[in-house]
Amino acid sequence: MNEFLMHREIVCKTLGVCLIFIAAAGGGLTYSRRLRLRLEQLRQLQQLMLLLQGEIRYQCSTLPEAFLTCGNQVKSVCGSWFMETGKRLNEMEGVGFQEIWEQQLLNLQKDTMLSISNIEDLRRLGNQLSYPDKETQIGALKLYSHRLKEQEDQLTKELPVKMKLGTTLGVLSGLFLIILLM
Amino acid sequence: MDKEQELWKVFSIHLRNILTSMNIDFERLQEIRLRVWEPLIIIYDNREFFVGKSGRLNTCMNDTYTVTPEDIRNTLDFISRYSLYAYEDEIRQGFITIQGGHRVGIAGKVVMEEGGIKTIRHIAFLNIRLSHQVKGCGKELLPVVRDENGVRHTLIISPPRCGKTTLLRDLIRLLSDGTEKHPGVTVGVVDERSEIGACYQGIPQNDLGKRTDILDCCPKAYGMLMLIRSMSPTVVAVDEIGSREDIEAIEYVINAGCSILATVHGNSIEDIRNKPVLRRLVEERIFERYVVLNNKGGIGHIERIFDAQGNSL
Repeated sequence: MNEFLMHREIVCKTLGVCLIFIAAAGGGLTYSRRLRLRLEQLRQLQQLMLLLQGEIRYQCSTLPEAFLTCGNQVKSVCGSWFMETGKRLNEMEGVGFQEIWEQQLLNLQKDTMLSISNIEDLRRLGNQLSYPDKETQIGALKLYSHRLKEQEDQLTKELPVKMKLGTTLGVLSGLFLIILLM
Repeated sequence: MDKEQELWKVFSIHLRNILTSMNIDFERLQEIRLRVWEPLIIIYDNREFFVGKSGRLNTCMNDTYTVTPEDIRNTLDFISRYSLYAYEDEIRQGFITIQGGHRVGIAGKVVMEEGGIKTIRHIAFLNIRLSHQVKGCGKELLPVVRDENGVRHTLIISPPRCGKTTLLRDLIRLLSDGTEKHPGVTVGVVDERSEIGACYQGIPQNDLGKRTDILDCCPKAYGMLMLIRSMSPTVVAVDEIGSREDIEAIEYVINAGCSILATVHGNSIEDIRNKPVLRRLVEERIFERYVVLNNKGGIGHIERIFDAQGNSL
């Protein structure tokens, strides 16, 4: 009987150790994946901004039209967000641009891996998207694109280190917990 | 969505609530005037009314709604679809044409650059002029414009708000679709201000007939030449001619063997004779028919028709 109980205890402990290890290592891997996705989404935003500039400069499109056209061309989570924003602007529900933009930013924050600072930059861009002349409007978009590029470069540089750190820390924290609990 | 609902959507939420609660026949509404810190005014059935907070129409200033800067700002946002930059050229000209073909006149502080108008800032006055398609209003004039030999070069002369664009639009539709007596012809329209076809994303919102091609937002002089070269129209129609380039393009159209249908601001054929640029049209007998409109017997009332020599018909 005692032997059976001991055997069961060993099985449970081994299972617990495995679970803790998998969870911790998984946490590290998820962190790395989120970073990779953020980089990808920053690139999607850059592509969308480039298309938006073209729509404004050469097609003279209004913002709802431009958002819909650009969003349709970039099949991704950011592209869908652009389309959704374009649709809401087109509805002319009696709400100002800022209010719609703020609401849409909340959705973007939920659906993407973009950081708070990325969202803040987009918020600032929203404040600048109602200039009465085309040149200033394009200037604002260029400035934002430049900022996106900086963020992308920084993340690309840091990504290998951060990913390695995330995975290692996940594994090590799992091992630490196992030692602590044993 | 119908035209009425479409129009109310360009107003700020306050104005939208007031305007939708007015008990009026939309077809008779002509103008809505917004001026900062001044009462909301409409022109309805050729009469001016102040609009109350509850949407009641008054002839005196009792309980009228005062338009706020926020109303103007929000209305401008909706008119331009949050994109004033996209209407840079239109703002320079002083008006924006919106979906449905309605024309929004704007006034405020004019910014000049190198002797020309750069933009209008601090926009504080808006005049929304409604466009109504009146199908059949051109029927009476059709025998004057069209006979068995073809379509006559015709100039419609009218002061503002007398229905010249509405009449031109219906004539285009009738010529394009054809009648029992005459088959339809290909009509090319240069719609510089989007008022004739009221195109939205390239699609005309007004019925201009089965055989009509439209060059939307294109300067008239360029557009007429482009149409001749590319669309081989039988008739070319343009609204509000006036510049030297327009006259040269009209001559080109006529020399190319096409008929021309045009409108011009004026009160009479004498008015046209007195304008330095337009005088040539009458002196050289370019047009075969002149139709003068006024609004004495209601909008679009035909006052007189003249032949090429200026004789009343």
